Amino acid sequence: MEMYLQFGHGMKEHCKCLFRRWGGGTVILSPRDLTQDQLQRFAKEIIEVNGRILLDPQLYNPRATHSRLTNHDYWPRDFMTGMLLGGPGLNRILIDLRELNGLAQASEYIIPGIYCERVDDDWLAIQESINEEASSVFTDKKRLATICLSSEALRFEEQVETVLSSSELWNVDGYYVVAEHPKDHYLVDDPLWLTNLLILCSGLKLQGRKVLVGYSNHQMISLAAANIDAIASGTWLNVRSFSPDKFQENEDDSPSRRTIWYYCPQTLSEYKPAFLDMGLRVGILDQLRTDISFDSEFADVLFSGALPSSTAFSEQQAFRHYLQCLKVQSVQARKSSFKETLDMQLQILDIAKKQIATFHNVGVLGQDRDFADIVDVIQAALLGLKISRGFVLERQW
Amino acid sequence: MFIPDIPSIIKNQLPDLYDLDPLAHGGQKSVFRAKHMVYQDVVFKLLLDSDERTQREIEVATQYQFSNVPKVYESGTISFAGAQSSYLLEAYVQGETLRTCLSRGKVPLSTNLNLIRTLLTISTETEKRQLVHRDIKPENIILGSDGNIWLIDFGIARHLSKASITATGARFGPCTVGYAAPEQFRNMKSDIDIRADLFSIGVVAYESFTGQNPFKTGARDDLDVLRRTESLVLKPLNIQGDTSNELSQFISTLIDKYPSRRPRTAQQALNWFIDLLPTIKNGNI
Repeated sequence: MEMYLQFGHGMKEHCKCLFRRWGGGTVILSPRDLTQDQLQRFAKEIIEVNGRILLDPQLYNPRATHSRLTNHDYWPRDFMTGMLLGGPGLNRILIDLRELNGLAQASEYIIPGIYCERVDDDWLAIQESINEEASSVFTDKKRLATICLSSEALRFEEQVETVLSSSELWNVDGYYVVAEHPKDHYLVDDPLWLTNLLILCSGLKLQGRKVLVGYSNHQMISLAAANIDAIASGTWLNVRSFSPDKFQENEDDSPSRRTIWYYCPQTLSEYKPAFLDMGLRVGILDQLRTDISFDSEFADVLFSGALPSSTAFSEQQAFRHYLQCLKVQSVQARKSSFKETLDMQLQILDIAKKQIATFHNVGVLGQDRDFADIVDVIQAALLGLKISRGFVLERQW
Repeated sequence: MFIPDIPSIIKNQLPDLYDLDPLAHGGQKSVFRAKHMVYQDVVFKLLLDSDERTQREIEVATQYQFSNVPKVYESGTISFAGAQSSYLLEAYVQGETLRTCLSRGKVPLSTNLNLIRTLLTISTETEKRQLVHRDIKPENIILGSDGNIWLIDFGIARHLSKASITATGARFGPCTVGYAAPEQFRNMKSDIDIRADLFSIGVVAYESFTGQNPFKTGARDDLDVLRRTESLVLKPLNIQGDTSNELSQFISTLIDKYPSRRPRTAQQALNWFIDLLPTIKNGNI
């Protein structure tokens, strides 16, 4: 499973640095965070470092108010719901988007899709209409249909299955899945939500089409068990989990909300340097160090012998370390069969659980980014996937 | 009340037929076993309605020939009750229906494996012709005296590339409750494909292994059967000889209420079934 970068605020240099390091990569550009000129210039820089580009139209809520997003040419003016059901209005949006994709030198099209509060005939009609129109406008590259589901829709198996049966008939080459996290939680503690996301993604993949899941964090490494092609992640939490509020004007990216976190891949948890200090104090700091196989030196300074919180571990290093580790974990997560993939995922979770418990005993806690409670959630969801689709996935991988 | 002597009417118009013996009579068709001068043992089906569905059945029967589906020798029309009625002349299969067999209890493992493989093989052929049988059930399966298994009655078959005969707004699609997949009885036309037949094959297999239809047993009425078909999570089968539970899982996969969780094609289902056969102890067929 690949890991793409989900572009967000302040990510330009991270993308270029990481793509140079990786010898290439794919970034999903965000019109919310880039004007047309910026987008065009940045795309050129990305291509120079062997990068690939996708463009998320972010038309999840056509009434969004974020001015940078709504100032783009393709954004619907005088929005009317009927516009998305076909006709010249929809055609115009897609033609403008085709132009923007051209300027960005995008390698595939992400077809816009609206946020789905509840899977019903109205939402399906709009999706079908957009995908149908896109098949006549986006003709020169592959097309990925956006499926953006609310956290509530993802709690209902029937709604997920309705998406699966309807999407079979869409004239598209793949899917860009965007799943709203319940209660705006970064890490999702609802096993049903994750089970249904796994079922959705595996069902889409079984259609023989590409599946990419946007706005992901390390919890979504588990989607490798659904055999998807890629997840996309980024720096700030608003690109590591999806909330439609991100596209409203009052959403800011102000520095006041910023805290530096160190990602420990073996526990799948993030820790503030102050809690690493506790690890140093009791002599287990080395156990929190990232293994050399992750090829990340970004966080080395934390393990130099000095008190971690007193080191110059920066936000930039924290982000790059996270994305470097996530990429390695994503690539290693999918194996040559469902059984192998599932077994390995469960084993990683078991190891993480034991190690987290050890750290808890000495006061090293991840607070709201601790994976202790999330391990069980993922294990339950993976077993739910096995029960629902295991027989098929063991044979069609 | 005047009851027409149907055998005499038939014999008068089709003199090659003789010894007509009634097998079944329903609202839309009368079925006879008979002898024919050329074809020997035959089944004569008189289709009393001349509606579009009848024409579709005749079309399917005469245009396509599938393995283990009785051969159609000829079709035509005869005058009956003041109108022209269509008829089909098919090969007669010596044997008994699976329903008759089930009335004595469970079906042996080897017969069951043969049954599943035959039904899946037929489905691979109908799939190529874009046909969905839509009425696979024990009454429409004949266990031949020679060991072969046959599927009959394409009366409600659906041709996926042709316009549907059932009204789009109809709440329920044509089906037999207890065997039809949820998307079929809910008349969700765009969702109906060969996977609906795979569901029915799964139910037939489940019933053959347990002796009971999992949705009909204990149900109050037909509506309850439909509700159970949509909501019941079936207990996995415990099949003797199924050492790794692969056959049990396979049947559960066929009966999954969601089409997206069944095999995508009949060919895929058949391949997976053939692959699991070596895991079954004494499962030679």
